[in-house]
Amino acid sequence: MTTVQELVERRPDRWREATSSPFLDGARSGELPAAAFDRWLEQDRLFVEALARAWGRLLVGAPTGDLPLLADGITAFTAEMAWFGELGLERGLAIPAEPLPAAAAYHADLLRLAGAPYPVALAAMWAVEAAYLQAWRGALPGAPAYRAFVEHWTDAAFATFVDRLQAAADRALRGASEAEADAAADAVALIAEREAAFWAMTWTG
Amino acid sequence: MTAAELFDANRDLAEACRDHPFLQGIASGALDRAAFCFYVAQDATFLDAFVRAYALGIAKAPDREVMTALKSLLDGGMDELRLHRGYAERWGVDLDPEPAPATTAYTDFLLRVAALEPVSQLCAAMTPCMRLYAWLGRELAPVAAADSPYREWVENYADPGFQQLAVTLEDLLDRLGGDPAALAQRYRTAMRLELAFFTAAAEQSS
Repeated sequence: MTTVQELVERRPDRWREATSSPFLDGARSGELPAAAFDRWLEQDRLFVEALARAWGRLLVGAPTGDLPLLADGITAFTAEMAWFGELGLERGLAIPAEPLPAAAAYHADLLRLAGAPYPVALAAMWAVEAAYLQAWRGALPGAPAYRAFVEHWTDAAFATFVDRLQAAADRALRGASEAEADAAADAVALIAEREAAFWAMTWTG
Repeated sequence: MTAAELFDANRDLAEACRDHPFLQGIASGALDRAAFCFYVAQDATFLDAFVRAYALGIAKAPDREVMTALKSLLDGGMDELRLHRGYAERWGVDLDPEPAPATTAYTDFLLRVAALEPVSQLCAAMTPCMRLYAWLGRELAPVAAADSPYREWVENYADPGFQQLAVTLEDLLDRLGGDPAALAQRYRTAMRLELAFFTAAAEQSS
């Protein structure tokens, strides 16, 4: 029986690259330059908006039982958009008109995958969140300049949400055909590749 | 056309809904239980499509502000679904019924507009459900019998929280604008479908 964990294990190299990077090491050690972090934040802000759109598309084709989970996800993303708005004012961040090429490619894949058959789409959306959580956990406790951010992106509410998402994705995979399970594995590997590129987008150490 | 003008232009249909035997039966308490149970089950099916239409609006929203407003409206739809689950438990209603033709006509219309048209037209198609119910709640609350078993239904739609959701959607409609003739057509189609929805439920009375 396929689970999201099994999909990850089909391409462990990709997952490792998605969840570890000089950027994250730098956030832990303090070596990450503030300007590179701010450029990354601006891109992450745009990414959350793309994520909310993707989940809107995902919800359209979801089974009724998953609607509360998906609505909670969109709530979390819109709350994160507001948080980024306040943060932007504090740090004097710009709202970039266009995403950087690595981010733009990620947005496009995200929106495309949200319209894939539900087990594939949900596995992809789980991969986005699970990789992000695992990656930031690797940066704990975070250098003083980044500690509040690392704590924000690893908090208990986010971890619980990723667990609920994993349970739903595994449930969806139980009803998936072999072809859909293979497509879900490809989707998880692609998300992992995009995540790795996102970490390297503004600083490579 | 503004949301207020669109509602005024459809006051004939709003009054026809208010004076409909189904709504009058809700207010007096004389409505047949079978008709109410049928309505609750069909409305849950409708709401399932309604929140999906909001979700498509989020995917297509022109900016963050519209996205956030649609999200609060989607939450309102989810709250209403929870309310229906409460009714279902108390009244012994199966919330996964075969959709009736009046239900399918309405959900197909909403999802088609959500999928194929701009968010402004989606707002025009979705506002009647919110504004009409908010208006019906306020019209019926003062005259509803204290012992009507359906009084909670009336109070829910007369509640300031629901009134505010209707205003949120109307504000969005006014902000986005759009081709006035198309907006008016979407709005009136939805109002007609609302009336047909009540008629389908009333026909279940024994």
